[in-house]
Parts: sequence; C-alpha cells; structure tokens
Amino acid sequence: MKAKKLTALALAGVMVLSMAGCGNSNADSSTASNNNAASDSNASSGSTAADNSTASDGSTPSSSTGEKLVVWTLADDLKQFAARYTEQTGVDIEINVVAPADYSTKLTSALGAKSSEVDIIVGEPQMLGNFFEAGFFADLSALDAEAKEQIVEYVYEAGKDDAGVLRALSYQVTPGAIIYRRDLAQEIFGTDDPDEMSKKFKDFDTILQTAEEVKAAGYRIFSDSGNLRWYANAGSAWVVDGVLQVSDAKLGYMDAAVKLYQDELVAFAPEWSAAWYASMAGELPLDAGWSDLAELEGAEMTQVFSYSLPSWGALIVRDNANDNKGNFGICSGPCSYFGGGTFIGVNTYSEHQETAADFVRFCTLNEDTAQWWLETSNGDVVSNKAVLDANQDYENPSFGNQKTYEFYLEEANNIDYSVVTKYDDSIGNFWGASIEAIQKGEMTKEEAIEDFYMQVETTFPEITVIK
Amino acid sequence: MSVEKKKSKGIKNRDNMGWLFIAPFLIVFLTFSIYPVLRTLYLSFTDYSGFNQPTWTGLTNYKRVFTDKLLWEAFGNTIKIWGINIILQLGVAFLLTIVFSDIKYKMRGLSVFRALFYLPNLIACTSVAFLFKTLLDWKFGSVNQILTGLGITDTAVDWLGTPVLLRTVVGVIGAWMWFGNSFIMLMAGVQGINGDYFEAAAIDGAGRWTIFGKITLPLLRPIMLYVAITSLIGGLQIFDIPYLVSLGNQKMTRSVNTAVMHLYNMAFKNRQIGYAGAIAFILFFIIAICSIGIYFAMYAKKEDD
Repeated sequence: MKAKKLTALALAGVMVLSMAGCGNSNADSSTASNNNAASDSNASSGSTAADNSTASDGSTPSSSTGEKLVVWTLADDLKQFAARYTEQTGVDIEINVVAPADYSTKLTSALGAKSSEVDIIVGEPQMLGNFFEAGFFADLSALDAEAKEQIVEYVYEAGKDDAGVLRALSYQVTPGAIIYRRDLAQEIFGTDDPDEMSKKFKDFDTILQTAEEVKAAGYRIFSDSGNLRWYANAGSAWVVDGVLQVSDAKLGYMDAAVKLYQDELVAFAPEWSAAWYASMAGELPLDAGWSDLAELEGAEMTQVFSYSLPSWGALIVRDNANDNKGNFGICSGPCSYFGGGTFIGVNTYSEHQETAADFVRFCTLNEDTAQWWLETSNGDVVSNKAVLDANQDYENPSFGNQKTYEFYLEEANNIDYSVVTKYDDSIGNFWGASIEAIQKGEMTKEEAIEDFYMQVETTFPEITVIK
Repeated sequence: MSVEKKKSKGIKNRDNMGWLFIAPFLIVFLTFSIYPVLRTLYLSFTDYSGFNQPTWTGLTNYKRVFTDKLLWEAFGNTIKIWGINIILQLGVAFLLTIVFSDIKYKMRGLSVFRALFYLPNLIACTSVAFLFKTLLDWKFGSVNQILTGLGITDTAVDWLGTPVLLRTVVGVIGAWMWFGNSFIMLMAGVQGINGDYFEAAAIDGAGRWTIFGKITLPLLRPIMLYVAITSLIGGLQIFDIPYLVSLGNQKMTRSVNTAVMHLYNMAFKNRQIGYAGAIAFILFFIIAICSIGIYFAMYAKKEDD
C-alpha cells in the first residue's frame, strides 16, 4: 500500500515537473540561447576585446547608441566578424547559428509575421530567390555602387533580385576547381603543372580519356561519378524563358557519368563517406560505398587522383590530407562554376536598418575586413577584388606553392551567373536520378530522358518541355 | 415570482458553466485542428509558395492533381505498401487472437505477450528505420550475413536498393510495428464476447473452427470494422518509414514515394504549398470514400446473415 502511494506520488511529481518544463521551455530556451550567443560573442572577442566583454554583460551601455544587432546565420563565420565589429564600433551583436535544414522554416515563420526580432539575416544562393520574392531582405541600393566596384561580379549579381535591386552580399566567393594529386600526376603524366592538368580536364571526352590513363596506372580519376555534376550547367541554363534546355553539355555529362561508372573508372566512394575522406591522405578500399573502413580490411586498394569541389572543398581536402599536405594542385575543369556561399542582408522589418546595413558593409565591402578574414579563416577566398588582387602572389604551401588566390580570382571572374536558375537543385536531382538509372542498367538512355521530362513536367507545370 | 426567476437564472448560469469547462479543449481544437484545415482548404485554391502573397487560382490545383503522373505513381506505391502491410498485420493479429482466445489451448501469460507484441509500436519511427537499415544493409547487414552464411542465397540481397524489395520491407516494417495494436483490439473484442456462447457451443459439440467462424468472427465485426478503417487511414497516410529508409537516395525515394511523401515534397521541397493543399484534400476524399466503402461492405454482410 505504502509502495503504491509512493509510486503514485512519484508519478504525479514527474507529471507536474514535465508540465512545468513544457510551460517554461520557451522562456528557458530563449534565455539560454541568448546567454549562449552572448558568451559566444564574448569568447570569440576574447583576447582582442577584453574591455568589451564586460560591456556586453549589459551592466553598462555597450555602445554609444545603445543598439544591439541580432543575427541569424548558418555557419560560425559571422561570430568572428561580429566580435571584430563590436571591437571597432562598440555595437553589441548577438549571433544565433541555425541548422541549415531549419533555416528557411525559421526565417519564413518569423519574417512572415513581420518580426523585428532579427536584424541581420543570411541565405545561400539557392535560397535567395524565394527570400527576395517574399520581401525579407531590405533594399541595399545604398551600397550598390560600392559593391559593383569592389565585389566579384557573380556575387554582386547573385545578391540582386529579379528587378535588379541589391539585397544581399557575400564576404566570400566559392569558385570550383579540380584539386589533383601532384605526385600521381608526375607519375602518370610526367608533369604536375596546373595548366597542363587543366588540358586533361578540358571537356567530358578528354576527362574520359584521362580517366582511362589514370586507371591504367592503378588509380582512379575521381572518388565517384558525381564529381562531374558541377559541370552540368556548362554553357547553358536548365531553363531559359520558361523552356527546359537539355543541351549538348548536359547530355555529355550524362554519357561521361555513365561511362565512368560502367567502365569502373571511379573508386565508388561517395562524397562525405569515410572512404572519401580517407582518400585525401592516401589509399582507400575500392568500392567502399558508405561503409565503415574498419569493415573493409583486405579489400583491393587504390588512390583517388582528383576531386571536383568548390573552394571550401579545397580546404576539406587540405585538412584531411595528413602526409599528403602540400602534395595537391588546383586546375580548371570544363567550365567555371561555384557552389554555396553565405550571403548577408538586412531584415526588412528590423528597427535598426542603418546599423544593420553598416554591419553588412563592414563584412563585405571593407578591405581591412576582407584581408583580416583571408588571414583569420586560413584560406577562405574573399569576394573583395582588390584584396584578392593584393594576394595574387601568395604561394600556398598546402597546394605545392601554387598561387591559389590568383587562380580563384580568375575562376570567379569567369563564372556566368546567368546560367543559374531557381530550378537547378530539383532539376539537377532529376537528371542525376536518370543518370543513375542508366548506370545501373535499369533504363535505357531514351527511357531515362523520357522519365526526366515527365518529372520536370509534373513538378513544375510552368516549365515548357519540348521533346 | 422573484424566487422562481432567481432559480431559473441560477440554472441558466450553471448551464453556461459547461462552456467554461470545455473551453480549454475547444480553443486548442479550433486553433490547431479546425483553423489549419480551413486555411489549407483556402490555400488549395491559390498559388501560395510560402513566400508570396496567395493569389486565387480557382480549380487549377485540383485539375493538376488529376494529371500529376508522379502523384498517381506515388498512390500506386502507397497501395502496394499498404497491401503487404495489411495482409501481414491483420493475418498475424488474427492468428494470435485465435491462439489466445481458444478455450482448449488455455494459453498463459496473455498480459505479458500483449505487452511484448505491442512493444515495436513504442519505438520511435526514426529508430525503427535505422534499425532495419542496419539489419538489411547490403554488405554488412545481419540478415544478409545469415542468409549467405546458411547458404540460403549465394549472393547478398540488395534489400534497400531494389524497388520491389524495398517496398516489401517497408510493408513488413509497418506490419511488425502495428500487429500488436491490432492484436490488442481484436483480443479485447474477443474478451468482450459472453463466454456462455462458447461454452454452449462446446457442449453442443461445435469444433474449434465452427466456433471461430460462427461465433467469434460475427461478434467481432464492429471491432474488425474499426481495425480495418483505422489501418486504412493510417496506411494511406504512410510517410515516416518510407521517407526515412530511402532518405538520401533519390532513386529509392521514388520507388517508395507515397502519396503523403509526394505532398510533403511538393509543399516543402518544391514550395508549391497551394498545390500540396489540393493533394491533401483529394487524399482526404479518397480515404473518406474508402472508409465509407468498408463500412457498407461490412454492414451489407451483416444483413445477409
């Protein structure tokens, strides 16, 4: 009896506690995130701005104007920018990092209700179109002239809405490249010169030829055939004036990807798999897929010759290279492209428009900041043309003393932003699925393309499909 | 007069108190159930993308539903998965009900088994999906290792990479998760039948199958109707397991793409919320019609008896 009473009491206690927990969770989490954000910005300002860290406790006014900016961002980068901004201006900044998968939803529900709780918002290129249409990003026309002059063209173009009004800017550029192993290049081709290597990757046919040569030497050209997907936009957009375009470049990509797969010219280690990371430091098991490497002992081993990745990917290769560090080179593929990048803008409903715009300007249109970020981030490619110019002669030891900033500036300048459409992600996925169906022999090329047309037609009725 | 008036007023007041008591539920129900349904209905007649101002487009979205080949492909997948699911789920539940309700077997430990059978239903879908993905892995899954180890198959079976097999797997997972639930309801139904019937039948010399066919089944009809309709509604709305087992694999996603997954993709991936609303309402009507169909099928049978 006593035990029953005790159990009942305990259960009632648990219920009360859990309900109390529910009731307070919002308040708790918001204060917690505030505290976190505050402590984050303090931590990152740390050694450089010891005096500011007391100011941001709130006990004393933190700035001359008493303003505080709230930032919702996708990555940790802006924490460091914010600490530097606080140090220079005294304006307190709270950074909230939101997981990329949740970002659109969070922003849409907050700004859909015209919330002014956030001042600075960000977006990746593929999100920007929708955000601009929704009117979330304030007009930054005041910065237009400066941006046009200072920023790499494709970033400036990507930050404008359909009407040509500037609404967001990025502090970085993310041009892509082929990152290749210099030692293997010497062994297979007798040279590791980037210009010579660019010739080996100049179009899909040449890539297939190169792949055969690399395989003959006992290696594989890529980790998997997906490396080619970046070049699908070579020459033309997926949709022009509302009409679907299946250009020769796209068909060339399809044929090349199928051949790479069916002739086993790649290592079958998908991007982000354990084997993919391992390949950067040396040998990897052939055909590893997503498996744990420990499970693959005794498998046939090979090495991956090259990776097709945006500039942030080059840093991943560098950071996982171990003994191979310094042993990589960077060259061009069939066309210049970019992937990702964080664009910053001001919330239309923010009550601190001027300060917020000033912060965007500080992050993106300030040469000192750009030079500082280039050094602090240890290799991020900034969007400021003058700073990239000034660093052109920097010889990067991680890439065999190649002048990487010079290379990326040229690639970034060659990017044709007009071939980017809001459909690229979805249509690219449909095309990728069709390629996979051919690779595995489930469909013929004709069937796969027919199926691709069907998917585009039914998903986007506004696109005209001419077969 | 004045006393009477006072009295009636008091009663009236007490009547109104009822509203106060149901207010918490009513407010939550109206806000979180009725309003979203009506809002979805409104949006289904617009071109809302989540970012723009909704503009009225009339029946455009509904017309599009009927020409959306991917949706009907997804609907076909849903029926296939549901078919496998329902046959296994109800089959196993019935079998167990027969075994546990038989007075001659005198099975012990019903409450223990009931809890055991119900357990899979308590595991979060994400964990179930991950568990089966691990067990059925092509190269290193336990299932393939057992099959090849015992020499049942020569080569590993690609459970998760073959469309037909993946659909079967999803159906089996559903059945595994829900057979305990159906079993509990059927068993409760059996226990609700007056024991005198069974005893009388047994005395009259009726065999096991006669008792089951002539007494248990007919008296279970209301419960069976409930089980059939709830599993139909659940089955046609299946989303989490197929979504999770095929996550990250475009091709396999399509082979287990269910109607609700298609709806989800349209709303949150392709940002066509208005159109997704139209799919939701069409799906609602299909489920409603099927439910009414089952109801009448079962009651028509009763009149035959």
